[in-house]
Amino acid sequence: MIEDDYYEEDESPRQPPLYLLTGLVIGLLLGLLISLVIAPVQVVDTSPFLLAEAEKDTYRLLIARAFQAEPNLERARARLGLLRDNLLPQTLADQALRLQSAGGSEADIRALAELAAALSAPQSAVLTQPPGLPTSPPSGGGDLPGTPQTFPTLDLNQAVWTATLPPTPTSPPPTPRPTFTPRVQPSPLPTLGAPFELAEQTPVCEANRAQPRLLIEVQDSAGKPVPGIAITVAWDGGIETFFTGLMPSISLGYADFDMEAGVVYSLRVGELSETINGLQAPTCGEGSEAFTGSLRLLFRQR
Amino acid sequence: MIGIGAAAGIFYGWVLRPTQTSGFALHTLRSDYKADYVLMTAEIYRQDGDLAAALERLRALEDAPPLRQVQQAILTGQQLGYARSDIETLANLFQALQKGLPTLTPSAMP
Repeated sequence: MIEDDYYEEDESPRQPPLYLLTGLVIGLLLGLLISLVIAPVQVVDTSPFLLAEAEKDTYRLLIARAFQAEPNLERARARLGLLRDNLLPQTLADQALRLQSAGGSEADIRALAELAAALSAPQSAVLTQPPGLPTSPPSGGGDLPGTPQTFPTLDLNQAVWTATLPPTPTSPPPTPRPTFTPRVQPSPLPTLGAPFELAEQTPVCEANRAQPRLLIEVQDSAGKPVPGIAITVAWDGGIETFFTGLMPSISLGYADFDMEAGVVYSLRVGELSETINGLQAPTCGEGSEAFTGSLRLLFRQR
Repeated sequence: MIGIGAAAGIFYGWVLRPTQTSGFALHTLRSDYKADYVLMTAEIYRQDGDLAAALERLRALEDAPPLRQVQQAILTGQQLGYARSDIETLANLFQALQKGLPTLTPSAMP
């Protein structure tokens, strides 16, 4: 009997150690709660090029406005270099266009256009510092004048990931030495006071151009393209303002506007110029081959 | 076992999961970049005198009181050897904020 009891007990199924698994799961949940909810990772000490696109736009706009306030092209270039954009003038122009289509402030659009134009200007190339040479934008007083000093830009791997838990106070992270930024004269910006007058009006008949446009070029009295000039176009039922200099690849003084066939437009360049009335997309060709062309307008400062 | 599970959970949340490599907010910028941001704001303020716009720009940088941000920028600028004119530009904004925000008196001027 004793032996029978023993075998009966031994043959009964053994229970797995569920309490260990339960403990592991509870611990895991607890750990996830702490690391994801209570004290999630926070990123600190990043560089401008790691910012979100919207934040980069804010940063870029600030640089443009600061350049407007203090036209130091080298400083603006160094600041923009922190964003590591390869196509700087185009990026600025694109942002200006986006801002314009979103109904942004005219001052902001103008600032972006002016900086894009200043960076695209041939004389600005002389001031270009070698690519990949980050500098601290503000000029430092402790360095020898004219001896640019480099410092390592924080790499992604150098970004410090910390938990929300208060960090133990340690010595501050090494901050880069400033770089002496020579105060250079900026590229000349347009004199906005003198009005512009229509110098040429030419129909452009290109059959392959699907959309008729107003192709506007604004020049100063010496014939140099002028960026950052507001152009206001009005028609029956609408008005729009845009700026020269947003397409530096074509010309610093260039701007264009999509026209509609049969619509009469009025246009004014700058704030003091006379309004040009009765502008219409021209009809090119004859008979069945007729199509609506574009209109090229050249404005020159008096 | 609870301890092992908790350690695994924390390791996942703090080490494995943070795969975000970009797209950060302005407030994550290093202190010297923040100081330059404030300097740009001060440069714009010096030109347009628009204190409300300057405040808006400073608030976009971080949640700290604007006065403290400018104060910190001045300190950082001094540590980094900013030019005197830049420090003066920052100080100009600081003074304007002091006048404009009388309730936010700073603890000390650098």
